[in-house]
Amino acid sequence: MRKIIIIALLVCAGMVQAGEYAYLVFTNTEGTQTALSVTDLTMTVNGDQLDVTNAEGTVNFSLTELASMEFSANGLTALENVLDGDKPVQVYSINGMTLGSFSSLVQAVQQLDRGAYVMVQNGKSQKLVVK
Amino acid sequence: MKRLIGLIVSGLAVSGLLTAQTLNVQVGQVTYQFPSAQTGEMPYDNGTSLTVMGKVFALSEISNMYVDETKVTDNTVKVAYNDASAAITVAGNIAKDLTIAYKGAHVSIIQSEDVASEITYTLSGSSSDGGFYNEGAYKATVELNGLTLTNVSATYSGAAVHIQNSKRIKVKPLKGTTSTLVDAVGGKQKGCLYIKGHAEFAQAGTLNITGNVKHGIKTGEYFTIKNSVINILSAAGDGINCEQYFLMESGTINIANPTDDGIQCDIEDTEVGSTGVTTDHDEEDSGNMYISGGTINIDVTGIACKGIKAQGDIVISGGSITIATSGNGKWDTTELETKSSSCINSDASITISGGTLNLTSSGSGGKGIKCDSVFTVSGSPIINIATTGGLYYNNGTTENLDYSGDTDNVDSKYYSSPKGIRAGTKTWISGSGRNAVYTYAGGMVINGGTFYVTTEGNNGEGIESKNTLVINDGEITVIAHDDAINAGQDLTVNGGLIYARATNNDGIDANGNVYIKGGIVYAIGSSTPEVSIDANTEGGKKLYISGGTIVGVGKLESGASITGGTCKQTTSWDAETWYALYSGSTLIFAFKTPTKATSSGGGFGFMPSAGPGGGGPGGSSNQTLVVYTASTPALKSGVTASGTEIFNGEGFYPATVSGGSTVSLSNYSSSGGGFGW
Repeated sequence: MRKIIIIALLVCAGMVQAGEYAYLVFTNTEGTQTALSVTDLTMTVNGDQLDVTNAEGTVNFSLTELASMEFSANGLTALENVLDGDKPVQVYSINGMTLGSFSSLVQAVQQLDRGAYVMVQNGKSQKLVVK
Repeated sequence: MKRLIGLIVSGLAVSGLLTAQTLNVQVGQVTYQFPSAQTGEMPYDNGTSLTVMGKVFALSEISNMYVDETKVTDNTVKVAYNDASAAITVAGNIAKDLTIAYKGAHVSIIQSEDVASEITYTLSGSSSDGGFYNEGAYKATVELNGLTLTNVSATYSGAAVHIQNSKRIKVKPLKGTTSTLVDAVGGKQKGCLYIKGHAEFAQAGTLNITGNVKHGIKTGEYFTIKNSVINILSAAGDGINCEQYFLMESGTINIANPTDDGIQCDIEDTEVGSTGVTTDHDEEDSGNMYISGGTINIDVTGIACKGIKAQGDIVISGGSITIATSGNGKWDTTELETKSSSCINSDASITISGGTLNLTSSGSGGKGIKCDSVFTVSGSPIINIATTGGLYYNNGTTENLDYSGDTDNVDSKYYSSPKGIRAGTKTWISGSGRNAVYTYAGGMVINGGTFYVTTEGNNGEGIESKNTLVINDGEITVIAHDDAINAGQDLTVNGGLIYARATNNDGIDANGNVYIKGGIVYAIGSSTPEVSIDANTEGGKKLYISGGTIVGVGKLESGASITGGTCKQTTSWDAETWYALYSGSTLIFAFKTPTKATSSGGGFGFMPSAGPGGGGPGGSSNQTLVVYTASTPALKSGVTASGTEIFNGEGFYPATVSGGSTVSLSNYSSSGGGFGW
């Protein structure tokens, strides 16, 4: 199962100076992805870390665990985007507890508190972080 | 696309701006700019490297990365000099194809052979010790955007800009900008701006060049220019030196203080030789120079240096060309003969069909135009030439800048005569003195144009063909110290307006036959025994007059064949007086007689600005005034003349005259003519 972490979602959309590629998505060697807004984004190699700073803060990546990065229009790279925003999803906590069903993924993201969740839709699942 | 994506995008679009992002990767002074739309996946490799669009960066060398909204143009490199450093910006799509090095403001960029698109390098800023070196195997463009670059330490090259690329290189001094390049004194560069390949200068910016070691601009292949302004402020060699060919359509080239020639064009492959002119100059290696427009100003001071020099042909069809040379002649220790300066010089032919040429040569032995093959003029060019230097003599041990001895029995390799125009060659075969045998090549054909040629030094012939000379049309005014117009073989006048005035020899002279078949010829020889028109009677040749109109101050060559008209003479004529010449009752033209002198020689007017009356002694009081017209000639003296000015104000044609008194003419006897030399 692919894992996706979306840090900058709709809640901060208004802060992003939008563009064709508003996100830079980092993928580590385990396939976990982190999408960061490119607004004021700078990256500095700091020893064995890559310090990524944007308008929302700083994220550090271990360079040895970093597999790639890629620009994205929506915070999801094309290959890993397996969920449909309009279709119903079931939401689970990270430790597997059922939290409920939502009529759409968009509704779920809007209503859920900050945190990490596992979304299941049509037998496919993704890990999302709502921030 | 999944709806979630659409939802997110629509949310983000709230901010309203849809602009592209660019990933900037800084490595020291170099910033690579990768447009977000092009990057795709950018893999990291085990914490050691990052690869973006094929460009592998060692993570340890990356100074910084950031994303902004800079718009990136593919295939571009920008180098912005800032005193001791240079900021280099590279479009991401070519990042992998370039190897970039720098030391302070000295920048080296080497294109890989994989480059398949033209790269544009834009250079700007200023440095007091910097340079730009570029290697490649694919055509490129170099834009000069207000660049001020002085190379001192000759790091990658001593040139200020060095393009080691054999392909076509466009050089664009950007419109409205001035760039200034100075190369390193201690370098070994061939030019302050060196381009190994063929250079095409375009755009209406200004480029100033100082070449401290060799040439100002050196191109290994052809050189073309449109619109640009190039100022060669000084050069240790030629101002501009190119190979294959030189082509100027517009723009301006100003060259001052070259140690050698102003502009020189050589055949690139001398072993294969010239390809001659090819269609659209494709693959041409001819050593030819083509000037169809623009402005050229050249001031050359070096010994035996040329303003414009071509190993091949020179073709001038337009433009304004002003050249001054002041260097004296020299003894060439390789070829064991004297060499001299000239404003325009071709080892082959020169063809002029347009433009304005103002040429002055003041050094000893200096010439206006010299070509070894055929000199052809047609159309309506304006050609003004003045040489003021003396006769140059040097036998390898003794030099004389104003030699006044008789050169008739001096080997021609020991002296260089100051001439207005010299064309063709005369090559010694055997014998000596007047018994010498020569072969002749090249020659001169004048079909049009307006000439004003003056010479002052000994042996200074105005227009000389070493072989044949044919004048079909044009207005030719020559005032020369020696023969005004001279041919080594036959000289033929079929038409045109010709004023040939010698202050120390014959007006018109040929070592072959002279044929006057048409035109208006006003020939003025100096004092007897020099004549107005001289053929080589001593050599069995002859003056043939069969048409046209002739006024001769000084007799015609003895034994002339005069047909097709009538020849008359008078010894009673007034100097500096306007005369009207009629053929029967038809006014042909009006002319002003020269100043009479008690002895031959003297000064004369210089350039056209001298205006009417600017001439001086030439005719002598003991000379006969000879006139020839189709019908019986009639002459009026002291007329008031007007009309279309010709001969630099010494004549009117067509003319309107009034007043004057009829001159008594007697029949001219060809047996009573003179013998010119």
